[in-house]
Amino acid sequence: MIDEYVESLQKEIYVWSKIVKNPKVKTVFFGGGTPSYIKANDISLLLKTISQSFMLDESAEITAEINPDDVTFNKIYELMDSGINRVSMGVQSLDDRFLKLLGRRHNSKDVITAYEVIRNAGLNNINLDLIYGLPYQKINIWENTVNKIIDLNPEHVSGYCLTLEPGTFLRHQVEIGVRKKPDDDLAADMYRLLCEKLNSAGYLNYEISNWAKKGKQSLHNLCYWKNNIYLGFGAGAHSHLPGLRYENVSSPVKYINSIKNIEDNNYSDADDLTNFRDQILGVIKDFELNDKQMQMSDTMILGLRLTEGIYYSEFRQRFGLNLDEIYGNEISNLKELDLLEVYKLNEDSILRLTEKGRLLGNEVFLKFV
Amino acid sequence: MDTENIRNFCIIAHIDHGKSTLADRILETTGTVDPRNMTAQFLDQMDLEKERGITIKGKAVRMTFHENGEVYQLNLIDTPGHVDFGYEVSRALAACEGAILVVDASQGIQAQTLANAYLALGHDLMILPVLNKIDLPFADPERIGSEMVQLFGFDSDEIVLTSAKEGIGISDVLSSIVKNIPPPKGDPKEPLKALIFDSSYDPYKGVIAYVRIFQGSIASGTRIKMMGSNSEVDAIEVGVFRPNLEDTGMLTAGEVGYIATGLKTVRECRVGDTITTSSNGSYEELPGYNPQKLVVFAGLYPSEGESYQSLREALEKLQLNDAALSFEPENSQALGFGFRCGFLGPLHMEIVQERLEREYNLELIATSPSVAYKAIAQNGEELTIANPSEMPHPGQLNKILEPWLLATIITPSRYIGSIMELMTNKRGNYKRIEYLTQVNAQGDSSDPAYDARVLLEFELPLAELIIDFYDQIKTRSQGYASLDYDMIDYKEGALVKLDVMLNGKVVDALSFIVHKDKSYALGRNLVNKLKDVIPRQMFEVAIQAALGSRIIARETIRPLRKNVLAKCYGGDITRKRKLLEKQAEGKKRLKTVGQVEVPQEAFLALLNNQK
Ligand SMILES: Nc1nc2c(ncn2[C@@H]2O[C@H](COP(=O)(O)OP(=O)(O)OP(=O)(O)O)[C@@H](O)[C@H]2O)c(=O)[nH]1
Ligand SMILES: [Mg+2]
Repeated sequence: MIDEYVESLQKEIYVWSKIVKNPKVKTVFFGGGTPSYIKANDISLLLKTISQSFMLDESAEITAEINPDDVTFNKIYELMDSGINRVSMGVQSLDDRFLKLLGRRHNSKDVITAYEVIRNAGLNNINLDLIYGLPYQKINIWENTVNKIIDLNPEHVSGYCLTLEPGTFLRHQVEIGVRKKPDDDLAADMYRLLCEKLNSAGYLNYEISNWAKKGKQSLHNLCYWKNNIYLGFGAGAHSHLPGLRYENVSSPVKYINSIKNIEDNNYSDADDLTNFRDQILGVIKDFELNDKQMQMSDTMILGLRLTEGIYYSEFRQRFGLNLDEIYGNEISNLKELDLLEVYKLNEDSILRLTEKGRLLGNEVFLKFV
Repeated sequence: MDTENIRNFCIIAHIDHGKSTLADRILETTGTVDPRNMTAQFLDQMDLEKERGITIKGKAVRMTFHENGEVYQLNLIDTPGHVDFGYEVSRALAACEGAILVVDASQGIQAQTLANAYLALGHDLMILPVLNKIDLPFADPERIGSEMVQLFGFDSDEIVLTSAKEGIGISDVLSSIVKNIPPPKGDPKEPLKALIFDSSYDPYKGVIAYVRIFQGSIASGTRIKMMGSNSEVDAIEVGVFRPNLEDTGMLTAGEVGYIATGLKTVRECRVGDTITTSSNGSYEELPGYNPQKLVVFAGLYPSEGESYQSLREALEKLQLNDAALSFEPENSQALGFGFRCGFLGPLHMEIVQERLEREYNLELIATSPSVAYKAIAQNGEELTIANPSEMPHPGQLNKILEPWLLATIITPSRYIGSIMELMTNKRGNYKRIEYLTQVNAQGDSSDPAYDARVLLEFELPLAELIIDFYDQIKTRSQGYASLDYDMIDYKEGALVKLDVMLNGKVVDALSFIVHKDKSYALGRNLVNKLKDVIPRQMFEVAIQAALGSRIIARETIRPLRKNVLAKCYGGDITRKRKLLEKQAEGKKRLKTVGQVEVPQEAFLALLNNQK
């Protein structure tokens, strides 16, 4: 099954490279689902396919997502051998009780060991994912986690607040009252603490929830936030092409079967989507055509996450319209609430979240959907 | 058809005693509705009626019935049982010669059984007693039958036993109708007199007048005159309810049916008016109806992003199908332009609001209901105040009067104490007590059904009834007591206006009028309640309750500090956007007052305040 799955991925990569005409690729990210299923060998195969099908940049950022309990010297060596130059590890917490609560298999010791293995293997671009605002989590427990992370000295840290999103188990538990709703104010304090500690340890807070040492921002994530285009391969993957977002079928079996349905020789000389559109559509679960209005809205709600904000000039270049023409009202209301600010840089103006606006990001983004 | 073979009757009862289900069986037995199309409570055709299992609007239907070689025309009107819709019952009664009084054989006589039976007697109708639900394990037809004999003076062998659910006793009911209800009088050759007892609206046929022809006849195409409003139109269609409209071209004296008027508003075609022909018409109007009494008033406003204009149109359209609804434009500083609407009671209010939201796809903000007060100014001028925020400054007032009502409660005797206590809390004055039946010594003494049945009468301010009274009666009597009421008159009260302020600004839509002695407790409760329902904002919000310039309660809502989405995993922007859209949608339900975003529940906090 895994082999079949990798074959399907290779085929999907190839098919899309034909459709989008082999553009330049600056970042690759292996992740989602259960990343440890895929062996280093498979990654190597897939990267080969990618570099044969696309123009893979020499200095491309190639990340593999990894769980702390999967890390071995061999695995890391192999990954590095196959071309991986960045690793992103889901740490979440360094307190074993909360790791349990989150249903993780690893404990805090696994994290430290894994981190040292990766480091000693010579990888110099490591991201650690953290999560805060957990039910029953006290600020000193969080502080402890943050201190230990800073001691490890990774190049990149992301810290997300736990959110009770519709459909999640935790939300359900809170709704039926078996779990206490996490305290919003406390979560805000945890964020503040994370900001202060990381900033003084020399990290740049380049996006609401992301910090990096100089030059180590994640190019891959920046691509999402700048509302640029990307292709996602595999079951449940998401893609963004100009004016189009789509999502692959989520079941791996369905995915494999629908890739099989794409005729082998038909696509090799395909010069547009229409030739085998029906076959491609079998792989796609859902798609959405984005008109200009929606593209602008996405550009806002994604771009405002970035500390550098949204450049008026870039917006004008992309959409041929002045930011204030479209969102003048929203912007001035949000400025009044001290959630947004505009600052000048040389000739350009830049729109960005205020300090207060960062944790209230949704209140801002809401006005742009 | 010879009027001798026409029978006009309605079905009346306390709520849920089985009127509509009995109507189902009658429709079936007379072959009016094809069994394949039959559904439970067939005449309850509105979605809301089906969902809630109650009749909201009375329905008329024409049936043909054969007995002993004769063919009869039966015109049935099913009426609602809920106390809010008592007015519908009295309108239906005026179109009939007889009424079937249905009583649930397990629950026995309840408040609306009495009220509706007295209404029917007042209209001089022949009453046919029916004991329904005899299939229920707790049914006790003998005991309840003897209650009916005692109370209304029926003969015990007059009472027909039925199970509308199981179809038992239906032909006995039909025979009794034919035998006992007198045929209508009225000469078809005299000038036309038709009573409009209800109306509805059809986009093609305009306002449809539901009529009972008292004398004369009418054919489609005839030019008709509404005598009260003095307007004239052509009757574009004349027919009967089967139960859908069926064009018959003609209606004659004694019959019940409809006249389609083509009118686009109800103003010219009011319920209670008399229709006659334009030429050679009658000079004399039928008695019509007493004006209905509106019991509660509330402001209805469009939510953020909805338009005033579409609310107005929806109200106008709904009024075509709900003659009881009244509305007038009003303006609130907090809520903008909207309407002060008058309703027959709390249930009616709830239903109107729900129909507006569903049938017209609107999102509304409703203020807490209020009664209509009378303010007597220093100079003797009298003002009617249906909106508390319009109450003049105390300095300009001589006195405030509030409406009072006479409440009739029927309850098993064991709950008397608890109901008396409730009445004291609600400022009620005890009037009298009557033992309708004696305790049943044979029965199980732990079962309230075998208690003596007691009728209690109280006078109480209407304002106390519209908030949480009905629920209290039910809770305190474990569901056994029932309530009916009638408005009586206005009495002076020690009333004050309580204002609510958000960040120092009075929110007019939250003002209300309350008895002086209750103002502190209510103000405190309300402020606490508001603190719970108003979401945290991006700044601190102070909630205060004030009597004039005196602050009597205060709470603070701390500012919101965090509202973030989870990690954007694998570039799934669509999902992120959808979550944001959902949050934005939720905000539409909020009304921005000053800078504060206030949800609908806040405006109804008063209503839920005292629970
Ligand atoms: N067991 C039993 N249930 C019955 C009988 N008749 C009616 N019901 C039930 O009683 C409930 C109320 O019946 P309806 O016919 O809607 O009562 P109603 O008097 O029209 O109610 P309103 O119009 O709201 O006043 C329903 O659940 C019926 O199924 C009966 O003879 N036996
Ligand atoms: Mg009914």
